Amino acid sequence: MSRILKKFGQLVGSNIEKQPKRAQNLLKFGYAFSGLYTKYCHAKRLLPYQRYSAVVCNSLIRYSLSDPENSAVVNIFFPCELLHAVGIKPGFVEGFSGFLNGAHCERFFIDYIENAGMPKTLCSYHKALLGAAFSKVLPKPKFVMYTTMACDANSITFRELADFWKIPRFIVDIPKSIDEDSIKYVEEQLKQAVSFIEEQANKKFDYDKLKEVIRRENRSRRLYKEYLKDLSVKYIPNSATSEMYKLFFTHVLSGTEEAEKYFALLLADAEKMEKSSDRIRILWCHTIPYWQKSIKVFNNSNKYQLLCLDLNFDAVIELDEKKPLSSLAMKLLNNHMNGSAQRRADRILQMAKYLNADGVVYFNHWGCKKTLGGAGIAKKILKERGFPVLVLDGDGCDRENVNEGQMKTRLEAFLEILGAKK
Amino acid sequence: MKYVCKYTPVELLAAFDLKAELLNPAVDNYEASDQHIHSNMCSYSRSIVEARLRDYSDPIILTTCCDSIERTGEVLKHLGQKVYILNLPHTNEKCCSKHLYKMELLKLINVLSKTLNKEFNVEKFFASFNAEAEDISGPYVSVMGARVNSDLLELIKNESPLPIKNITCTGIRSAAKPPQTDNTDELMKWYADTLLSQIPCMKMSDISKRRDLAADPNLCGIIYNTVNFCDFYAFEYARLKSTLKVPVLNEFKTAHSPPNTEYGWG
Repeated sequence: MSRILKKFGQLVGSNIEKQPKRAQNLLKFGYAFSGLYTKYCHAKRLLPYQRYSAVVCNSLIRYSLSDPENSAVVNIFFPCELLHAVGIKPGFVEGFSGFLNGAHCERFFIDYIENAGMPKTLCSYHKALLGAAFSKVLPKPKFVMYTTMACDANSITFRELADFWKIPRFIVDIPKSIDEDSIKYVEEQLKQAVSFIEEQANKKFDYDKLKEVIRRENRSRRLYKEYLKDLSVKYIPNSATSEMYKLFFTHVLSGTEEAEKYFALLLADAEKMEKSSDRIRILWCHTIPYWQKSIKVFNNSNKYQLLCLDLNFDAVIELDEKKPLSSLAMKLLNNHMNGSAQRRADRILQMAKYLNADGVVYFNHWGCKKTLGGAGIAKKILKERGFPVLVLDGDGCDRENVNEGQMKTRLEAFLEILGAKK
Repeated sequence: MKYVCKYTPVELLAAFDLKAELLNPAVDNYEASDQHIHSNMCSYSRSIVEARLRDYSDPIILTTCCDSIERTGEVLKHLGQKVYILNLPHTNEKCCSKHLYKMELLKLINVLSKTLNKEFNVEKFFASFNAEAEDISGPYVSVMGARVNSDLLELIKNESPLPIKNITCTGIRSAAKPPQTDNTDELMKWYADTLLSQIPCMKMSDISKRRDLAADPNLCGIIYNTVNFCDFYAFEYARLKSTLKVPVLNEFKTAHSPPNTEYGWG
């Protein structure tokens, strides 16, 4: 299968410069095929929640390619509840680039944008998406919207995307501190975002629909909290890919029917599992390079429990449907990816305790300056509280920017140490 | 007091008798800083940590001007150094961003008043706006892009046959004279707007004013500086190089770091 995918990636890559439409059609076909394959052929190997998430994420990515006029490109932290209320589908950087990696063609797009002058040191998720847009493989969406939270690359990427596509962009600036002025600042911008969406979508914004979205999101959050409670004492089969899919439901699909169904399936699967403490329990920070051989050790493993990515509990917050924009502002400001390294480390520590983690892997994704810059602080805080930490340099998206051998050795050694302690 | 960003309220510091000095270290290696901050952070940030580990007698004021500087401030704080970090908005076109920055300035006044046991001195604040601005008439060459260390800037100035205008992200600081008022709140409202209305750095959402930098008919050439692992400026360089008629040189990629830096985890 891997050889076929590699060939497929090369075929896509060989078309992006001269026949971008053909490359786009190949991707559409490839994703449609993989969606069907997951639904029908993978069925027995996966738990219901895993199968469902693979199918829904696949479908969302295909939407950006097949119906761009009804979609927007956003960053992962953008409050997509506003888009769901008017029926605009979000495509997001990490999701789309993750799927390019899944099709073994991310490097061609990265090369494309690096040759256009984008620095090699930029986050590879952003480079892959920019390459897809600039090569005209990713079609022009209706508009772009983003927050400034967590990552400077957003400012670069979305400005360039809007300029290149000649489409409107909207920025929500998120301050680092949480106080009355900051909440008002973000709330005011969200009001302007609503007007922007109304204007671009040529639709009246329906606040009742937003309330409905928020109610669904709150129900989903409750299911998720129940799941996390189960996860703290049970073994629940998981995989690196499933954790990456979970990012869709904890972020851009928050408040949708699909997300509510996903969390219901997640909890139902968890409830079927027995209590277990014999696995080595790993909490993972940032994204995870699910496609790397060394990471497959976690996939539905008998020995290890991949607990959660910290990005998947960055904002598990109840929203107030009576104050929708204000509570969305609070959710953004309270996200542990916003603000100091200390804030993020404290939240990781809290969840490491809650989920009974044996160790933490802090993944330094290429180009993520916030994560890289906070590594020392997080390691110190977690180690002082007794949690072994592995700071692992790698790349979540670009398979040519990894040292597989070194990563395998370091990860194995860390897991061995944790195993000996258990 | 040391500062790094042009949005730093240096005139406000002067109102407390604090002399603000631009921190622009050039270091030979990162032996000490590599213990505390990742080597794939921008080389300027690493230089700051390296320099501050050798000499941290002065307090330092930073802004959240980029991810690297923000984390640099935190690393220094965790090392026990005196660091003040101002929250810098990404926009100036939104009215609330000016209000938010005004509140940051008022908060700084409050902190300095308590720490130094001094009042905000309005006269000293007004007087500090008298600093001479770099004014070059006629043909010139500009140094543009990310911050350039002082040694390199001097070298360029000495070698260039034409006057050099420093319009890098720290070099184009400008603030007009403030209106006469004793109302600190009003004054800080004006000051926040003035600071945020400077020629934007690449962090800012709206960078359209930057086009003016390259549109001057007296501009004869650009020396464009990029810093390792600073992602903001490289793409602007590529764009200018392909669109401008004047020569654009980018030979200073390692301005804040030792040579032979390679990219990639491998």
